[in-house]
Amino acid sequence: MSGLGIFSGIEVLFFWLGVLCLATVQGLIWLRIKHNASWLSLAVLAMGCGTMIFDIAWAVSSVLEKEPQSASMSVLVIFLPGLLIAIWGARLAMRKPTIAPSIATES
Amino acid sequence: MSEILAEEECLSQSGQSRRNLLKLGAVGGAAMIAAGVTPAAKAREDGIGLVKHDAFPLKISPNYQRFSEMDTSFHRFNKAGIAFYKRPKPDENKPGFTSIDYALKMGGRSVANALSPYAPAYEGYHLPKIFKPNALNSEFRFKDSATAHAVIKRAARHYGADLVGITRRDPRWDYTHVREGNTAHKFEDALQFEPKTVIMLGFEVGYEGMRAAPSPLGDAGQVDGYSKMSKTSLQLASFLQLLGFHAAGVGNSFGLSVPYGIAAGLGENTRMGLLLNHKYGPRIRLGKVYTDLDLDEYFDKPVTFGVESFCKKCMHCADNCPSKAIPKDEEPSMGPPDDGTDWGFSNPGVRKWYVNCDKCLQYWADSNTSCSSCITSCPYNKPNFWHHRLIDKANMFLPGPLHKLMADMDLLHGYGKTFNETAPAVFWDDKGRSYDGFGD
Repeated sequence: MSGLGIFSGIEVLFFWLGVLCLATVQGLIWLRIKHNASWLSLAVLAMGCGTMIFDIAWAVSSVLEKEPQSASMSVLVIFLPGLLIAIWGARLAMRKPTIAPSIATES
Repeated sequence: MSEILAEEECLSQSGQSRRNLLKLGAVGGAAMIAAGVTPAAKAREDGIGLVKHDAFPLKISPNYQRFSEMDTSFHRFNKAGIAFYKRPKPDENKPGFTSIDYALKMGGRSVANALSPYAPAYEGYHLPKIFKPNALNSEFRFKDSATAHAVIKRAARHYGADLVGITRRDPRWDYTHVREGNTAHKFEDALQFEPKTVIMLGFEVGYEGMRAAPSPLGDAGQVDGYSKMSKTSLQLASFLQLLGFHAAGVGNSFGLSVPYGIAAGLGENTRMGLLLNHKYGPRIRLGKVYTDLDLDEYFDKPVTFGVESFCKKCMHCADNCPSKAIPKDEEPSMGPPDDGTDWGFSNPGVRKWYVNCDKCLQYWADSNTSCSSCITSCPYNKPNFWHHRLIDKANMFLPGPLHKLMADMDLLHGYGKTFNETAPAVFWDDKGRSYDGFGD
């Protein structure tokens, strides 16, 4: 985690957090464009992914400061709720739009 | 002055089931959202949760009187012939109590011992050297108070202080008499000049060492802090002398470091009676430099950032104190409890939690360490990582009832363990450390 002896562990961590954040934003844009995901589903998904990314930052920092119990505890109380929220958001985003019966008959 | 031996098991373990943990997390999340809309969370003039005070922030009784250093627990023990520091008996099989750990501690004290006749860090051994004006330029004057603050603080940091605060001398916090062995000297006679200003110096104590408290390894960082106190206060006193002022560097002696630290804006008082700094928590040592430099204005103001509110709910220090010296009363009081104890070592008249220093020092004597379980178990005692700074900021504006939750979460995350036998291995672990300048 030394970044070739140039960067500290925290510096390397925050670099990769930036990459993860960028990937998340790109994923949300992709969902909006390709799957026409609703803004609500994207907001829920963003909240879930943000929570998970926050926990990655917390857990890696805890390992760096040599408190592994804090890392595992954070997975329990931060990452898992974030994962559940993200799954909920993803299901909302990927749900196919229901077509009202009357409109379906007309077409 | 310091020391302990650990024979008890960790007191801070809590047996929560996984279900309870999840419940706790859910309640915490809901409570934090609720906290965001409570009136207590609104921004104040000096930032969210941070309040600067023009006056001393603790209530002081009109009957408050100055205290004598001859009445402290240290001297009471001396008079009673109770040695609270004995020659170490290392146990090579007990982590934190090996010859290496004792040697680390005792080696750290060497500077403080050598400089004791000049700038004594420990009280009761020597009086300090009084630096008399010897200005390099007799015409020299600080341009204004702001410049004096900036220059003195920069110099103190240059000499090794981690924290610096400058405050007006307040006789309430000075001892009436200072101690040199068993001899009492009047404060004014010992200092030989009329002090106008007190420069408070703070020194960080290493986190990894403190995790090993109570043990000689846990003491090592504290003891090293005393050496830093002597070195820096001596250098700063000499610096002031060369600018044309009287100065004397002292550590624990001459005055009460905690109220002076509060007055100088270095932190808040706590349940355990130690100063709690926003950056280092209670993991600091405090030194003082008295000088007759008189400033028109003092810019360092006392600050509060929610520590008293947190201490009311937390209780970690009281729960983990091996000698049960720290009170568990929720509210601070104006005097020690009427519990039949001879509280002659304590000075009533200030609203705070009164610690039974005789009990505390007796544990030092019994264990041959300086304990510090209270510091180790304090949730504010954390290394310098972003997530701890985040939680500290959150604690500044979270309402009181949530502080208990935050304190419980601290334990569940594995922090605040005392009698931690794995901590010495972490301290001494060579893995990942670089000493040759390559790597981080």
